[in-house]
Parts: sequence; C-alpha cells; structure tokens
Amino acid sequence: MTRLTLVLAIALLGQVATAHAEARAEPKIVYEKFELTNGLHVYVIEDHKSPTVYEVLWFKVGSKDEVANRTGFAHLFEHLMFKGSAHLPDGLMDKLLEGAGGWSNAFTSSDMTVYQNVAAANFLETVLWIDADRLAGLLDTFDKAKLDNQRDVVLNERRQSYENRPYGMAELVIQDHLWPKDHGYHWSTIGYPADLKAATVPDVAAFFKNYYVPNNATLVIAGDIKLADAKRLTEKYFAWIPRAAEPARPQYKLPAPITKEIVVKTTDDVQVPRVYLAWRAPASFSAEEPASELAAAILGDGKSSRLYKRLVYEEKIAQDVQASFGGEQLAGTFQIVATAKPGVDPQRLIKEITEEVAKLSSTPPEAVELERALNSHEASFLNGLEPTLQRAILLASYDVMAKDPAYFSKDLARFRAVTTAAVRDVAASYLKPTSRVVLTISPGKKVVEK
Amino acid sequence: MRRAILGSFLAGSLVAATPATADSVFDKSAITDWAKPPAPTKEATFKPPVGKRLQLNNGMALVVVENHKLPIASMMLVAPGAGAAADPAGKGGLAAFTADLLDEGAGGISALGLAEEQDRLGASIGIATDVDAAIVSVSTLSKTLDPAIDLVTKIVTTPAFDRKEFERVRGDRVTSLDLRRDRPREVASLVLDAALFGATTAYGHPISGIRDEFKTLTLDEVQAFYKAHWNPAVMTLVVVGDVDPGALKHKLDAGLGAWKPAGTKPIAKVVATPQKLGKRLQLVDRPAAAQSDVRVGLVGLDRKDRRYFAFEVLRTTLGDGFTSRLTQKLREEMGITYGANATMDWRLQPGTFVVATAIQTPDTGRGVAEIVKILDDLATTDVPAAELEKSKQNIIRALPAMFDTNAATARAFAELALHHLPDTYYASYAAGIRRVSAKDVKSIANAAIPSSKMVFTIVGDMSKVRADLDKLGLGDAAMHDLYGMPVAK
Repeated sequence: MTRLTLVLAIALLGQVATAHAEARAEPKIVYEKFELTNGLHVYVIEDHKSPTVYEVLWFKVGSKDEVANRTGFAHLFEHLMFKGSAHLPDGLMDKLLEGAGGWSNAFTSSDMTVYQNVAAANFLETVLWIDADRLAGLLDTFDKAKLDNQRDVVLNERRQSYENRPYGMAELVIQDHLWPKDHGYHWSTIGYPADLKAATVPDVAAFFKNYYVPNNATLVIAGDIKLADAKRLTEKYFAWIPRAAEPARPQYKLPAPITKEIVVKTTDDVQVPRVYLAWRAPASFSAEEPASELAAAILGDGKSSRLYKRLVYEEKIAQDVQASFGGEQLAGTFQIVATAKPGVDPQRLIKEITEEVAKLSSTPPEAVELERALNSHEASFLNGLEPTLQRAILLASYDVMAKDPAYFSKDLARFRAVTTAAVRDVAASYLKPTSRVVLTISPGKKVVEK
Repeated sequence: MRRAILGSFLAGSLVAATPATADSVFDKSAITDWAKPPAPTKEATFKPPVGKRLQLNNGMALVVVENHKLPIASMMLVAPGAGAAADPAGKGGLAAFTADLLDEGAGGISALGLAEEQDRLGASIGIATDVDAAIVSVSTLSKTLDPAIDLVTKIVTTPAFDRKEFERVRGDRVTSLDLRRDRPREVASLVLDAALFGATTAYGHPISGIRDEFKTLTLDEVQAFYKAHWNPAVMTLVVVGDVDPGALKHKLDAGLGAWKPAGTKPIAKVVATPQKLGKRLQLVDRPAAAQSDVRVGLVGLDRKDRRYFAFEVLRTTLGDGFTSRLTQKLREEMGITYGANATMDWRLQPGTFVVATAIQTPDTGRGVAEIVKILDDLATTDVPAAELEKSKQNIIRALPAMFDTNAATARAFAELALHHLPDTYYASYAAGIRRVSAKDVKSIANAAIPSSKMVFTIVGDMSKVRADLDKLGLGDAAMHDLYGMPVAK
C-alpha cells in the first residue's frame, strides 16, 4: 500500500514550471555524489535547518520484477526488512529509531522498493549500521515464523486497503485488464493472496539474494550532517559488502496495443455507481510525460478543470471527478474516475467524459488553461522540495529513473516547453476510445477476487 | 507500506541476536563489534522557531515566522467559535456548510473563477471546519503572495452566499451524507462520539452533520451563522515563509485588517456534555465485512489540563509509533491487523480519546480483549524505565519535525492561538516531557483512561463477531444502522 504514498510523492515531486517565472533564479538541490566500489550510489544533502537526519535506500525492485505465481514478494520484503537481521534482534531497529525521535517506513511500487529512516541527526551512524546489517544479513535470521507473521499482516493490509474499502478493488481490476498476463504491470504490488499463502522461505530468500545487492541500490543521506562524516561512515558500513551479479529480472517487451475497448463491470457494497476510464500512457521521464500530466490537470484536476465544470458544477450528474496521470518505468497510466449522483446512469458519465476527451484530442486547450496547469505544477514542485525527506526521495528518483542526478533543472524546462498543441497530441495519441479499459462498479455484492 | 503503530518493551521480548558464524559475510568488514549499536554523537539543542507577534487594525492577531529558504509561504487563519461546536441544536453541519460556501463565489468573483484564479497564481486555499474553530489554510508562491492575500481576503470577508451555489453545494453534501453508510470508519467514530457526549450536543454530533437535519438548513441560517461567528477580533492569522513582516502587515491592514463586520457575537464557551456510562457495546452490523472497525474510547482531557505531558507519554507508549504496545501486540505478535493506534482529540473542553484499529473478522473478540488487557496493564504496572525513556525521547526528539515545513510551522502556532497558549510554549515542551515519571504515567492511565469507563464501538459482521463480543462481559449492546443511527431492538 504503498502505491498511494508513491503516487503522492511523485505527484508532488514530478511537477514543475511556470510561464512567468523565467526571470527568477531557480532553487537548486545541492548534493554530493560518490559511488562505492561495490556499485552502491551514494548522495549526501547537507541541510542544517533542523537537527534531523533522513536516510533513503532505494532498491531497483518492484512488483514487475516478480514472476507469475510468486506475486507480492517485493512488497512482502518491505515488511520482512523490519523483522530483524544478523545483529539486529526483531524490534530493535524501531526502538532505536523511535527512541531517537524518528521512524522507519517504506513503500513499494511496480518498479521500486524505497526504505526511509528518520532520526535525530546524532544517530547518523546508527541509521547506517541498521541498513548495512539489513542488506548484508537479513537472511541470517529469516525463518518461517517471520514469514508467516508478516504474511498475515500483509493479508490484513490487503483487507484494509482494498477489500474492506468502498470501490477498493478498482485499482487491482484495472491493472488486471490494462496489461496482458505476461507483463509485470498486470498484477498489483500487494500480490495475489494465493501467491502470498504459497510463498516458502527458500522462494523468498532467493528473491532477496537476487535483488538486495549494493549494485542495485541508491542511498541518499540528507539533513543536519557533515559530508565528511557521511562519507566516512558510508564507507565503513557499506563498502565491504561485496558487489554481486547484476540481478536477473524478467524483461518485458512493450505489449501489443489495445485496439478494442475493454468493458468491465463489477459490483461492490456501495450506494452509487462509479466509473473508471483507464489508458496505457507514457513512461516516467519520457518525452511525453509532461504533456500527459498537464492534460490530466486540464481535464480533471480540481474545480477549474473541464470535467469538474461540466459533470459536477453545471450538470450535477457526478458527485466527484478526477483525472490523473502516473508515470512508471516502462509505461504510465492515465485514468479518469467519476462517481455518479444517485439516479444517474453511469453510461451518461462515460459518454460525457468520452466527449471531453475527444474535444481535447482534436483541439488544443486555451492558453490560459495551460498557464493554470503549469503554475499549479510549479507550486506543487516547490512545495515538494520543502520537506527534506521528500527532496531526498526526489534526488534518488532522478538517479534511478532519469539516470541523471542533475535532472532538476531539466525537469523544470521540460514542463515549460509544453505547448497547447503538445497537450492535444498526447490526448490524441493515448486517450483513444478503442484503447481504453472502462470499469463500472455498481451497487451490489462486494467482490474481492483478483 | 508497513507503517502502523505499537510497542512492547517487556523484558524478555527481545529475540537474542544470532551470533555471526565463522564464515559470516560480516567477517569481510573491518568492524569487530557489529552486534553493538553505534553510540550517538553529541546531541544538538533544538530551538523552535520564534514568531513575531503583531496586530492588525481590527484587532486580528498576526504571527509571522520568517523562512527564506524557498520562495513560498503558508498561512493559517484560525477562526475560534466558528467550528461545529457552535452548531445550533438540530442544525448539525451548519458551521461546516457555512465555511464550505465561503469560496463558492466572493468579492465579485464566481465560484469557478475563484478556483481558476488560485491555479493561475500557483496558490491553494483550503477551508476546514474543526470542532472548536474553522481554519483557512493558504499555500502560495512568494511572488504571488499579494494577489493570494487579496483572494483569501475576498473569500473570508465578502462571501457571496449565492442561492444557486447554496443549492448546489447542499445537494453535494446531502449526497455525501447519503453515501455515509459506505464509509464504516467514519460511522464507527460517529457512533462513539454520540455515545460519549450525546448525539445532538456540541461535541457529540458529526462536524458534517446528519442527513435529515442537514436537508433542512437554509441560506438565511448560513448567513446568520457567518455573521455571528466569523469575527476578526478573535481570529489569529499565522504566516510562515518567504515574507517581510512589515510589508505583510501593511498589505494585510488594507484588506483583512480593515474588515470590521457588525453583528458578531462573543464566543460562547463550549458546553461539553459527557454522558453517564450507558450501554458499553455500540454495534453496527455490516454483513460480509472482511475486518471489524473498532473504536474503544472515552472522554479524555482538555488541552490545558496540567497532566497533558504525562498523558502524551502514556499515549505514545500505548499507541503512537511502531513500537507502541498496541501495534506490537495486535499486529506484530498476533498478526490480526494492519495497524492500531491511540489518539486524543485535544480540544478546549475534554474531547475524545480513542483506540482505533481494524481487526480481521474472526479475531475481533480476541483483539478487543487484548486492547482491554493492554489498558489495564498500563493502569496497574509501572512502564519499565527503558520503554518510558524511549517514549519520552520519541516525543522530544521529534519536536523539530513539527517545524519541517512552513505549513507544519503554521499549524503549530495556530494550535497555540486556538488554545490560548503562549507563543514561547514549544521552548519549554521538552522540559515538560522530561519531568514525566513512570508513576505519573500509571496514575494518569488509571485516572484518565480506565478500561472500565470505555465505550466499545464495533462495525463489522455481527453474525461472525457477536458471540465473542458478548463474552467480554460488557453487558447489553446498543445497535445502530449502517449510518450509525440507533435502531429499535
């Protein structure tokens, strides 16, 4: 569950720009980079605004790196990494970090697993010791009891975040139809319960050995610390860990395009229907990503958007509507969600959303619409730089996803370069009625398979 | 994400570290004492930011905290007395509805025009209603600070209260209340508050109201509520970020500070009405629910209670953080939930203390019984020294995080203003926590959160959980429908 957080982080971070900001010096992310001989990428951001240290350890492994019948492993690790390792008895890391005024958490997506530790800055060495021990020694104490316990917790996470939530299964159903069975985006990060239940200790251990290696990770240390200390301690705790073979991972070809609309209908224990229109979309950091984000904003992000105006404000046929774009490593997803007002036929929502998408696909938006979308992006981007932890995650994402830690200034520029015609063009290329999945969830019995 | 809450520091709960074997990979490191956690270096002393206190011409207090690291600013306007506690009896939701309508047209700009202008400026204005106050939050770029101030001034001082917008927003809210049955967590909290304070009272009714009452609200009532309760003389505006205090005050005095509405009423002291302990089991049947939403609570303390610090140490030990007792027991040991926590809604009068969790259906009774045991243990046995220290340091060392962003800093100072605490309050916060002893924690657990006074609200599949709940010895149950409304037996 973790996908949610990730989307939030990327939404806050991946945005930029304004038409009238050229004159101002842009804020910079100031960092130092070094690479250990074992391949670990390390970044240090000194920021002395408060006596806290933030550590981000990003592993290039997500649910797309799992194989059929073994889904949910990447996310399962996100849990097992908190259950102790060679020199860390189960529970000690949380005691140390919470006793240091901090906390520890992680999120998993299709592409990545990202660990975060926070503590008072004078606990820098403790934080690095914890993560080195987890990386080098997790399997030393891993056993069936830990696996069984955290599998139960994950199954409860699935209940709380998907099964026992109104419309909660939608995300899983959409993924299932948007991507073919043999593609890594077909299954959700949380995994299929049957696969989780079938997971064995050797299976899970093999997954760890393959992916949890220093040459598959990026470390960012940020906060009230000195570069020299961070460097010395990183060397001490991480440099000795041997480089391993590059992880073997499933390789995916771009699947054949969807050429005929996929219509899915299901039910849930809810009062009114909700419709979801979803398309495959550009990948993160691809050339068409900025225009895709801005197209989503113009169509359906907030009260100034086209869909809100029409469906919610003027015609009052929807209780809410939201368009969003989320880029991932291999491809993205563009989605429009609308909840019907009581008594409104969901087909009418689908029809009118289709009309608005068609309009944007044939005619460029007004300049003022693009300006609003860009300025909102600039504000989100700047606000996203403020929390030190978020800045650290952004830097890691530049390193891993954009393969360019200095991407910051380019990130601004690529949004500013978007024209109204470019917004129309991404809508025309990607948001075709024939290439979409349309899911309608109607009142009825809750369905929790998938 | 693995985050939830918890913590059992009982001696012996630690698994012994596995000694590294002779061919351990760790032999490759130059470190010989791996098993020993590194000692922390010298701790820095943290000084919370200091606010500059000013006053606008109409009496509105202004608190400014400068932070020029990024070209952005956050504002928070606290309107005490404009919260849901001021809803007249039978008019639940009026305060929130009024606040909601402020940005649906104001100062000659239409509802959609206001939204468009915010986007154009890269600003965002949000209006939220709490129990004791309404809060207007603004985030803006510093280069558009002045037009953002103009916009928020229009919204707060000259709302149009247009009939067409009133009808539309009322329709949206009635629909949302119609759909409440789909939100079991909200229903669980609503049922608990009604049982603790009385369903129609200041603290006992939901901020968003009850459907049937809400339908009867009129535009006249909204206008009258605004006129009586949005009073600049009692408001505080907190501004944090890339601003100049002098220029800011000058700018504000031309708008917000010149606002002197007639007809405002003095803030009425909130009368909270804790109910006598009645039926302790408050149940909602939700057939086929995969989990039971559990709320175990009572009327706690008010924000200015002198036992505040002891209570926070207790609450942290019980249910704040991964190492808290609730998370360790229910999640890490029993594996029956994704998380559990304990919260105290700090208000002007004593508010709701609640243990909240969602337990997999078959283990609901067992989980609730464990919550009782955990509460009883805290009330009868001293928290061990190491665990107490962990809880205290967790709070003290997390203080800087309260000021990590402009918005967080604004919130921290807004809370002081609402509760009439001094601007220098956070400077002595750590000392307040440090003074708390194990005896204080046990004593406050015993006095303030005894399990014998708790009300247990459970939304779940009664055909599967009821028999176990009845075995807990809590007596007869009060049943509620899926909206949280009482049903006749």
